Order: sequence, then structure tokens, then C-alpha cells
Amino acid sequence: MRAFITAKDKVLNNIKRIASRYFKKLFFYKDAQFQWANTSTVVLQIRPIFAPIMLAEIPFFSYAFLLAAGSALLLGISKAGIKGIAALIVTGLALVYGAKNSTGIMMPFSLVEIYWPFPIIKDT
Amino acid sequence: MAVSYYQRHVKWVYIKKLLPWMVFGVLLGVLGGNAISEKTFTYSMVVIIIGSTFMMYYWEQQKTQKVPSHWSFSGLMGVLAGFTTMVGNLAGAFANIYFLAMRLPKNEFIGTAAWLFFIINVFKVPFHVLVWETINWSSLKISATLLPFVVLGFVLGVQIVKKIENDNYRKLILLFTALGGVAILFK
Repeated sequence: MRAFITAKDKVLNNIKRIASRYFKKLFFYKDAQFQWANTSTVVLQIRPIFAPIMLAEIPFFSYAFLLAAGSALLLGISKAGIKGIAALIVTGLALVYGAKNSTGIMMPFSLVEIYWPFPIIKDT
Repeated sequence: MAVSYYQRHVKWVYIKKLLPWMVFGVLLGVLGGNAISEKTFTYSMVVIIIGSTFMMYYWEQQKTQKVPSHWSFSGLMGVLAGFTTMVGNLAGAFANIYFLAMRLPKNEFIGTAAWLFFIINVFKVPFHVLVWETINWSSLKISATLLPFVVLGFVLGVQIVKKIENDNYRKLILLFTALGGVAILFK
């Protein structure tokens, strides 16, 4: 017995099909799929918003990038004078980019020391 | 910039004393880091992270912060600080002990430490670029990508630093750091 499809269902299906096609085109890589990433996390490859400056191996929306962004956020917090989180930042970046690479990524930020009138001794 | 603000508080005599040791430590780190494999480098970093964490914890538990005043202790701290800043960007745990040993007043402590780290960080750059090749276009692109988060973190930090009253969060951070250090091994 054929399933009865109403005109309304047809319209809705078409809308879904077109929307998903454009959504995929806009946000996802052509070969969007779950991949086993370096950080042992399941990563959905999504088109990075900053495609020109983002490395392909760390997709913008991934656990790995979230960890890196979180570490960067902590780095900013430490620059404001919260002490004792330097080791956590180094750990986070090392988990994402590897131990040696992370030292180079962190260097430009180490060179900038912002003055803030809460002079707490920081870990450098 | 902290370095310019605290310039008047800098005690150059302490920088001159510690800098050669730190430079030696950095060079050891450069040579060591270049000679060993990525895996061994990772292990070294984990040891530094966990070692620094325990040192920070131990230091905070101490009621009286007495440190040896012998020059060899300062030298050892300088070499360790140089090595750890090269391998893990974590010189603070050791360098701060040196400055505490010198019994510097607070502003002199901050000013001298800020200038020392600034000099040593500038000194490290050529080694990162030319020897380790860890600073390159790819790493700069990643740093640029992370920059908005650092700025956001700074804005958040400014709000947080006004509110934080107790030091309980420090123990939690130390625990997370130690766990993270172990997690690197299983990466």
C-alpha cells in the first residue's frame, strides 16, 4: 500500500531538502563526517568561520578547538592578574597542538604583558 | 605594559645575577628540546607541569617561607627557571622562589620579575624561530585565531579579579593542572 503524501508534506519535504543542502553548503565541508581526531575526540568537520587563518587539522567547531579556545580564555584571564593558572593553560594547549608546538603558539602572548592595577605576581 | 609601568621599581642587580643562569637554562632547554623526540619532550613537559604544580602547592602550604640564601641555590633556581620557561613557558614557580629568597619588596618583586621575563622571552624568540621552528606562519595563524579568546579572557579576568576573595579556587586549579598533565601522557 502506497503511503499517502499530502501536498503539505511535499512542500515541507522540499523545504527541508533545500534548507539542508544550503546549510551543508554554508557550514559543513563537502566531506562532512565524524573523524577520529588527534585529541582522541570525535570531531565533526565544520567549515571554520575564519577559514583563511584556521588550520585545517583543528576544525573550528570541535572539542579540540574548544579546549584551545578555553586555554586562550584562561590566558587572557591570567593577563588580568589571576595567578596560578599558567600550568593549566600550557596543559590545555599541549593537549591540542602537542607539547613542543604549543610553546611556539604561546610565545607571542608571553611577550605581551598588560598593566592592570591589580599587581598580583603571575606565573610566567 | 607592566614592564614600562614597573620600570622605576626594577632592581637590575638581581636581574644581572639571575639572567646568566636563566640564559644557561634556556640554552640547555633549546639543546635538549632539539635533541630529544617529541615523545620525550612531552614527558619532560609533563614532569615540569606536575613538578611546578606540586611546588606551588607545597609553597602555599608553608607557614614560613624560608629559602637558602647561598648563591648555588639561586643559580639552581635560575637554571631550572630558564629550562622550564623554554620547555613549558613555566618559569614562575622557580623564579618567584629566587625573588622571595632575595626578600624584595612587593613592587620591586613585580617590576624585576616582569623585566626579567620580558628579557628572557625576547631571548627565546630566535631559538623558537630558527632552531625549534615552533614559531612559524602556521603557529602565528593559530595564535591569531586564539587572540580574540585571549582578549575576551582579559575582559572576563578584569571582572573576576575584583570579585575573588578566597584562595580555594587555587587548589581546584592545581588539581586540574595535575590531571591535565597526566592527560597529556595518554594523548
